[in-house]
Amino acid sequence: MKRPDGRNPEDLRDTIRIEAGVLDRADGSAYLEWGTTIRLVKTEKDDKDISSLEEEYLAVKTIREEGNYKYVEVPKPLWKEIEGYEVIDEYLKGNKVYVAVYGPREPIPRHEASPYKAILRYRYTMSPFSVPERKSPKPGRREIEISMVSRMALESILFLEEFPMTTIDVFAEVISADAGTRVAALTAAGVALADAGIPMKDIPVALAVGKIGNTEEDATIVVDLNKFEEDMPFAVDMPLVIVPRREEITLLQMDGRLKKGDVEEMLELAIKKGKELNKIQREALIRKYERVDSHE
Amino acid sequence: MNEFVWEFTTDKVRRLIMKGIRLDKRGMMDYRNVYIEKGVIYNADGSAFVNLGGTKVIAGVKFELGEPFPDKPDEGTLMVDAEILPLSSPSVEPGPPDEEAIELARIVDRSIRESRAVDFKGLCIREGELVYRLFVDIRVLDYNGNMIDASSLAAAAALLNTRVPRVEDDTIQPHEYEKVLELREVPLYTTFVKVGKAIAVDPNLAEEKAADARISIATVDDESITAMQKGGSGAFTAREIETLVEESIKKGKELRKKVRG
Amino acid sequence: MRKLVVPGDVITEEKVKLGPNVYVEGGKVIAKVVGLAEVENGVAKVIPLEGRYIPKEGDPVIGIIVDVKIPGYDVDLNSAYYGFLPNEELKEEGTYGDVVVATIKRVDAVRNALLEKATILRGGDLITINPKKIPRVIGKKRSMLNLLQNLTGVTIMVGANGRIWLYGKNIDVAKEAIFMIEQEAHTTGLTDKVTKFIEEELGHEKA
Repeated sequence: MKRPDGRNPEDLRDTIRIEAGVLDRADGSAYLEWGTTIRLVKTEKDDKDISSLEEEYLAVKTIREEGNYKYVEVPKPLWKEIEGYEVIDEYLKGNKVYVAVYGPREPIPRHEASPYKAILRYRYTMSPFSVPERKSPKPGRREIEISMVSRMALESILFLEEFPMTTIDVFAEVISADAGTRVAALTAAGVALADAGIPMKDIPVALAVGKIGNTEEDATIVVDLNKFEEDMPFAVDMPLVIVPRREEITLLQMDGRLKKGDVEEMLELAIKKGKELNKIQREALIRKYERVDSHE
Repeated sequence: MNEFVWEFTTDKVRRLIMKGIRLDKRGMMDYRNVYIEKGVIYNADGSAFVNLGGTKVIAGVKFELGEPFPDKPDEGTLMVDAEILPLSSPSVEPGPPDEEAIELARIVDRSIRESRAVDFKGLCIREGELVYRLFVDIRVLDYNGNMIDASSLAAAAALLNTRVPRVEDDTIQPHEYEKVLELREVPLYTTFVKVGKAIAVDPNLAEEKAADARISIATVDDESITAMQKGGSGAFTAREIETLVEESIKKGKELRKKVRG
Repeated sequence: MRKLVVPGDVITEEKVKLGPNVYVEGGKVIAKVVGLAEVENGVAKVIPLEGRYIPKEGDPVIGIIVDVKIPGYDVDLNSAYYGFLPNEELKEEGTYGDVVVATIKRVDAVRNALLEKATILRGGDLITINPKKIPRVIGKKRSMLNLLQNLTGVTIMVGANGRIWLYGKNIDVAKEAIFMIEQEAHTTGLTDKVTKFIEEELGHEKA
């Protein structure tokens, strides 16, 4: 089975960018982009090469037709197939997340404070325009649950006991969504927490592994599902938070149908790719200081 | 931050601004740098990111289908929502929009609605039955003062970047577009603060805290005024407001160039 | 040799004493925060580059009085934690909004600070920088601070909590120089850069 955007099963999406320290007011912050870079190609409606590409890959998609022409989205892993075509536009289709960290700071309300450690709060929200159908601005049950499991995934990684009687707030806003927003937010949160100077054992990294196919029988194990893959007839999605150094897992959710052996294979893949993603987080933090150096 | 800590900065800002000096060395009628990026959100029908001197705002436009209001059966509808996110400042707590966010949404809403920027009749599909509902959602990400102008810039830039989705069998076809949304006007606010007798444009955070009064004036191309909002507990004289209307027309022209560009 | 590290980076696998901002796991000494790691005289530590101020005994701090009570004053320390200044540690009577320089005498179990030897700072200008960059503003044996004061003629009081009070004529130049140190705290050759900057700025003003 081919992945909809032409990736190999073990490939993360082609474009992952993180920047640390992007918000002035927050004590620490990060901005993350995670998706596929699309080239919009203009070609004749009956172009056979493009049509067969469209048949083979779900993510190669005509989004508009005009007279004798059509406009086709081609994801980055397939760009070698469209050499020589007229490219109208290039843009990211994927997740975009801002994370701000405030704290350690005075707890509000005060009775929620603990004399033994800082209280961690995590709030994950999605902008109304981030998804195909406008989302109501009110936080739904989904966002509340994600916020809770995300908070718990981070608690054991931070040295919260160093800051009694305080709160550490992590706010994540998803402004653009394309599957895997909770792990995108958590990967950015790891960078934002480090940028805030919060002591931690390691920078937590988050990603999803899954199993996709047209039927359960032909399904393959893959990393980092995009929206096309989440919507396939057979799709299992397993978001994880990984502590890379210890290879421990602090968030795990899963729905679908897996065989016993699949779980082991998926976790192994997740840890391997998590370490790759962790490098991008580390580089983002280091780059913040190189940025200053380069001004000289 | 504790209010008394602000008081210290506030005192300094007040002392200086009354002598015509701004902490960031701007002239009294100098606007901060404006950065605008359009089309940043894949799933939005129009979007823009604005950074006005460190105040960062994102606006997204989306269409839905619905019934028209009974008194305007042949017109599409507009809804502006704004949230000052807890990411944006240490003093914003998570929760439903407070009065400041609601004021912000309503101010931006009025400037778009009353300038007749959008041809609502053009957003009617079947009179009395089915119209486009236009949503403009504003999210303040980083708050360094003057979010009214930043939000109005973001909303205008997003609307200028908006395409109207194609409708088939009474449903919206994602990423298929009927036309570019026609904007007849580009209403933009210019905000001023008054400190003592001194008046400055585009206040930063410290200036906003130090201000006695605030006024925001929305203008359009033909130099008409389409919305105004006075804020803060201090007062402006009629003469001052006249001068500021003049100034906002001038500033509006410069800003519209940027937002269209 | 100092090295830029991020949380989770291994600093050394040798047997060393643990300084601030490191922990041990499986015989490895690992960084807890973003900062500059060093192993000196058998002690491994990370000098943090980010983070809010946490009160420490003996620290000089610059605070702002936010509450006046019968036994003394509540003082904001640009921190999640407050300072308490007993009446007898302040020679004159203070009030809301007064800026005070004081020393932290003791820190209690939940990190609040008892202050002593306080003086009210009047006039001048107060700025706030990242508290973790304060050591660079002071420099080894106060070298940077002396340089700043000598070149600009400005009186400068530095609080470990990130607040800096300035008094004198060339406040703006001194402020810019301090912001420059804050931005480039992790780089080398700062003394030369700061000297050059101040001399150029003051030269311009004369011209």
